[in-house]
Amino acid sequence: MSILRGHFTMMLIVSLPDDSKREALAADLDAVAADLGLEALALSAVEPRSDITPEATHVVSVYGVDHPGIVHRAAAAIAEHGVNIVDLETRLVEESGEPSIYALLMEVTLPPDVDMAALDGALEALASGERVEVNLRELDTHEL
Amino acid sequence: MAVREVLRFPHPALKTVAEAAPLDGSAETERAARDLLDTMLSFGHCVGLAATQLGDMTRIVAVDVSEHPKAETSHGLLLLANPRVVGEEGGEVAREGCLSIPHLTANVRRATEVVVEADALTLTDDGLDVSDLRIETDGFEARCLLHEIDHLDGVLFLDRVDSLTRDVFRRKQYR
Repeated sequence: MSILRGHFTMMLIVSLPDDSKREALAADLDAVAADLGLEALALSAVEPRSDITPEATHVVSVYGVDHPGIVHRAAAAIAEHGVNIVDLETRLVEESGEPSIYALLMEVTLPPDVDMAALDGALEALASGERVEVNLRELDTHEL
Repeated sequence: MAVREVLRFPHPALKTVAEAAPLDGSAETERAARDLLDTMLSFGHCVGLAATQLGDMTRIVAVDVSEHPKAETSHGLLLLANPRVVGEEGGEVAREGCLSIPHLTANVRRATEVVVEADALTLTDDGLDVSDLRIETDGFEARCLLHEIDHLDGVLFLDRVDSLTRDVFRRKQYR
């Protein structure tokens, strides 16, 4: 669930007891959408995945004055080094009279043979090219 | 009195590592220390400020948590040049605000007990006294010291949050 530009949004992955219920579910959802005045609602089938999501090892944070291209270039910079994005969050902070700040946080898995010097170089190039702050750190897991 | 403007992100000074503060009777160190203190005191509720937040790229911080209800341990007013964290223990997540990112607060994990060594500065009518200081502190004062020392290394709380949706909050109003 998130609020994107003031629009409430959510995405759910559900399992149906049997596929014949799908049309009934779609009809019920459409009725609810009409009732609530929702702007968009979609029901799509997805293949069950048995492979477990790889565990994130690091966090990449990126933030700076908002402009188009930050997400694209950040994702491209790390993808070139075989880094997998496991989770991604963004936040836009707007305040009248101040520049809007865009923040992006990616939980990532580094490949076992990652070339850290090359990855650091790519992140530095991202920082200077996009004029954003970029920070790569190991994900802290606090075992209790 | 020289109350200075507190810089806000994205000002580049906030992301720059500060230089060691010279202590051999440096007029610049004294000026930066006086401005830092005057500016901190001009915000009644301010518990800490770093020289880099004023655009002075010198390693000086001011911390005073003595009036703060959350502070169990307080060493009073600390005006520290070249502070170094020499010991850290424990960890706790708590909410932080920052005058340089005034519209947000964030949950940040920091050590609960720290040992800090620094050159303690005392402003006098005719200059600046310098003495070696080593303090052991905990809780809120430890957190403030770590937050301000982060500023000297160009580190903001946005560099330390684990989640933008769960750990960063918009401030409705700030004093």
